Amino acid sequence: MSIANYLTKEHRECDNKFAKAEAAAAKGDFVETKEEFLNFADDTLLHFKKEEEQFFPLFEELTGSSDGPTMVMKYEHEQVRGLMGKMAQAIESEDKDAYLSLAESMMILLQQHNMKEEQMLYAMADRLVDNTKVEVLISKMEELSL
Amino acid sequence: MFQNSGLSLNQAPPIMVVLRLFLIGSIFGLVASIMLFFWHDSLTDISSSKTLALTHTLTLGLMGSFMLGALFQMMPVLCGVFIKSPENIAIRVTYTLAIGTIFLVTSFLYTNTILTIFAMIFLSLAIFSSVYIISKELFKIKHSSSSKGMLVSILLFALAAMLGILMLSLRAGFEIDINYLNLKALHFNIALFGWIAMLIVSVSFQVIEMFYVAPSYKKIYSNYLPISIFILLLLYSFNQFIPIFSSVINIVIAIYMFHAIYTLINIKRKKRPISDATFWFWIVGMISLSLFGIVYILDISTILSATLFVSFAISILFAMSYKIVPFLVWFHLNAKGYFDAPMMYEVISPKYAKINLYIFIVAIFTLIIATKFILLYYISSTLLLISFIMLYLAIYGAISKYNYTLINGKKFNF
Repeated sequence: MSIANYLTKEHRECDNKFAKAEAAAAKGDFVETKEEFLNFADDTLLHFKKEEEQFFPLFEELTGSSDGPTMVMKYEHEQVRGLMGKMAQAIESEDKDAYLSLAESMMILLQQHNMKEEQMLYAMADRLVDNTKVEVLISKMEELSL
Repeated sequence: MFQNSGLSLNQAPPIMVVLRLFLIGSIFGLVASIMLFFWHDSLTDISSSKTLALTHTLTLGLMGSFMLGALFQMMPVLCGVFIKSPENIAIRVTYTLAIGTIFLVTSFLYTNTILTIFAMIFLSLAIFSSVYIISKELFKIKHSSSSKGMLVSILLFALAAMLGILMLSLRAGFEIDINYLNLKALHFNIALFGWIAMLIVSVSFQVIEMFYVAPSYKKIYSNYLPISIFILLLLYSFNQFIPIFSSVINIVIAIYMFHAIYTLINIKRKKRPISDATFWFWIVGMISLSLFGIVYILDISTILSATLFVSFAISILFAMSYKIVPFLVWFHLNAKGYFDAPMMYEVISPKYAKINLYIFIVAIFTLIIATKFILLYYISSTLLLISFIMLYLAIYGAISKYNYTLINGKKFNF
């Protein structure tokens, strides 16, 4: 499996969980929203952890730059984390409009972030990293948990 | 290395780069609706000065402004490139395009050589400088389907503009030995199918998936569509010498019809449960494009096919505006650290966008019927005017909320 395949698959899984939480919020079912949102948040935060602790350091080593694209990606991760906090508050207060509005921002923010990673970082990493290193990287990412 | 890979540190251009173009574009939409109200009688003659004034208000003033605004915004996201000094460039492009369009429209109405020459100068400055700046960056990158489509559309925009300038030279009295009718057909087809439709299609490759979490287009399809359209339109441009190439335009339109149906299938399979106004604007746009293809290929009615194409292009413009404008306001304020930045729904309420959608759908429906019952143009143009006033107010309101928060908002100091 390539780096792009592995990490892109995780993006899609997070998208699916996000959509489930949004569907529950649209119905006004905040018990289900909370459950689905936690699934989404857990998966997304674990994905960020894999990137920040394993993938980005390798990428920085290969490109010789730690203040380049990975810095932008880490900044965007922070933006997503901040927005997650606000969405959690909206769930606690059962504010449907606030949740759906934040969900709209979250979706665009996440999708444009994912697009940059998939089209640039992951694609570049697949060209630069040899197969053995890819396997090691993926197994290290698999070992991580929140 | 990052430069070559198209990866840019900078994320988005300043918000006013985009919103200024959108705001001015919506004023042109408003003007076009007023023109339609008073001049719909002239539409049967596609070469009349009033029809030319109306079509160029729509294509250059409205679509040109919105599409350049969208390009400035989307290039960093979809292509990973960032234009240097975007604020200065955007101000220059915005105003020269607007002034050039005004000169062009008035030159059609008053057949004045000086106005025509001014139109040529301002439009050349606006179009060729933006094409140069955008294509220069796009040539450097490793391409995705969207960036390929953007490059093709911007190059064909330049070609359409060159043909237009050539036609204006003839109107200004310069003697050039060229077949005017062929030139006109080429200008028209390259502008509509090479620039406007191609840009919308290339943007759709990404945003349908991105905004609605819909399935992506097949790679083989999205990778080869832009270049196929480019080659077909180049072949078509030789139809004066090889007459059989004139039928190539039907193949181009059939491809766009296929794309419209493909997009409808994809967007209906979206995972997000919310069907907001922007989703329905995409649906209206793609249904219009499919119907346009049928009407054009079967040669049913020129005015009807033009109406359906306009419906397609304006629908997508509304879809993109109602998604991008509130997001940009929230995104820029949030990135600046304002923790009371208005949420997207507070910038433009979904109900407001839905009302605009309903008015727009009725406007388009009556516009289609008006091609048979001409009196309905009064109703359709009024509804279209209301739609553009609503869009203008939404963008203006978004800018006001942004500025208000900048002055009065509570800021988190990093």
